[in-house]
Amino acid sequence: MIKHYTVEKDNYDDAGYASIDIKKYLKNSGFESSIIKRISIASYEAEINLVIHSLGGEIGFDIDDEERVHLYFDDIGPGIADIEKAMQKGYSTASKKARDFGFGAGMGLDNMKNCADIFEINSSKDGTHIHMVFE
Amino acid sequence: MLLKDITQVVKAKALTPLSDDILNMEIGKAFASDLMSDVLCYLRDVEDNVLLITGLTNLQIVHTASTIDIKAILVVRGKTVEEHVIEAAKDHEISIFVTDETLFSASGKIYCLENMHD
Repeated sequence: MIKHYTVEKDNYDDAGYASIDIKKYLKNSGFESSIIKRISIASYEAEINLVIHSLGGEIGFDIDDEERVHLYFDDIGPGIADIEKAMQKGYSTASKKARDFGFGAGMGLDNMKNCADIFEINSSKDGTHIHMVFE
Repeated sequence: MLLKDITQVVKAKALTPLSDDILNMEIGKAFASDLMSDVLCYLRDVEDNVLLITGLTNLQIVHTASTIDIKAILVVRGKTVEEHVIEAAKDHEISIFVTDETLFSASGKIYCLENMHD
């Protein structure tokens, strides 16, 4: 794993730093701006979700031998009750605080899926795990 | 439309340092929203320079703008933008302006300006 970050629940002030760091790394590594943008958006959305919805979690960032970028988001719960519903545009369970910060519009998971070439998600009460691949 | 025309029409004050390059920046699209989730979603595929018009003033406006390469933010309703947000904007080379106009009237004036130039 090239980079690894810890994300705290409800830490709105620091939300986005991991994604900005990943963006910086990709820029310095000479990736094309269009793929950097897709990765940045997906990463930021997922990072914000960890802050808003999870009890805390970790972000992993890697580049494989074929230059494909992998992002991993693993949290420790409480899990998504209905993934199918959560994937729908506009469906949100975000708190008022999250909305006050400009998030929780119910667009995040759908946006991540559209940005990534491969999007995998599984969730139980013990945690949600997202793996995204960008080619 | 040029960024300087926009700032003039809404009588905006700059909170970050200005240069000729910034004032003469060609803005191809403006997007008005207090929801950063929507900004991330609807501007995903835009390649023009974008002006974000918002009433939100927290650090996430800078992080959102940086994520999708937005170079200029117009804060409406005369809100105070805290120093750490302005500093973050400078770090990311994003210009922040503030206007006393509401989101609705600022957007309306800018929209008319854009049409005049079409």
